[in-house]
Amino acid sequence: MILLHGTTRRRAEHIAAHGPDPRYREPGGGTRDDGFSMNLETGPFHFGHPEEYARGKATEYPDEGGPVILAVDVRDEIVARSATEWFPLSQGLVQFDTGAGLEELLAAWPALPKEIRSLT
Amino acid sequence: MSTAVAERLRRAFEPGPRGALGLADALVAAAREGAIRCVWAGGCVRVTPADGEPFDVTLPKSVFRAALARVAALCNEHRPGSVTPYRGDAPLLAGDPPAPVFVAFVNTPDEQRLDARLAPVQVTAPAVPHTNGVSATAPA
Repeated sequence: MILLHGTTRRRAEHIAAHGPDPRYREPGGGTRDDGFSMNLETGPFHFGHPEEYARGKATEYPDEGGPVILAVDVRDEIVARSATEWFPLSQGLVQFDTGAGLEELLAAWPALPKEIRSLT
Repeated sequence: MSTAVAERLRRAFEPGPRGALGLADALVAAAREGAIRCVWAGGCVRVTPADGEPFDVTLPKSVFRAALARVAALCNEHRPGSVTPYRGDAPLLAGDPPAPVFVAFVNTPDEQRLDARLAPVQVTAPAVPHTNGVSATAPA
């Protein structure tokens, strides 16, 4: 199924090429360990729309090429691994954490179809 | 804040059928009965009621970040464009029946916090009409 991640063009290109880095370090920030958040393309968008995240990120980091949506076709069984009692798939948010689908996502990443969608 | 409210706050951090949505709803609803501050650090959320003892609750960072994202979405449902997903201060409607709650939050990789309190003045309901039975503001 198609999953969306809103971010800047620079980050989307890096993620597409190398896979999500759950320990990504923001410019000027500390190491994080947040997993990797996406949303079902079909919604719902209870936690905000990926476009909002893309535009917000592009505003905070204006030299990163502007807002884009990274769309990835992830196999259903990998998406299902992300579902937990905190993150039921029915809520639209797909949260890949360590032990909850992240390892499977990273392993499959190179072969997953991906697309970077520009936002105007 | 009463002991009962504090206990409800503690229970809000136990996973339920509504997952992270339920956590967000419970936190802003609790603010109707007294201001609260929630700050994530080191694997725990420190919850500080305005007139009660602070307590810590173990919670994955991604869960608290999702709850804060839901708070941002509620703000923008009430007043479109009022906050970004990463920070803001704005009113929203919480609970049933809905009551105005004012929130201030930060949700970045380096900082996650929420302050919520009953709004000092009445805020109006969103003035967006439904079209063909589908809400123009709220996600499905």
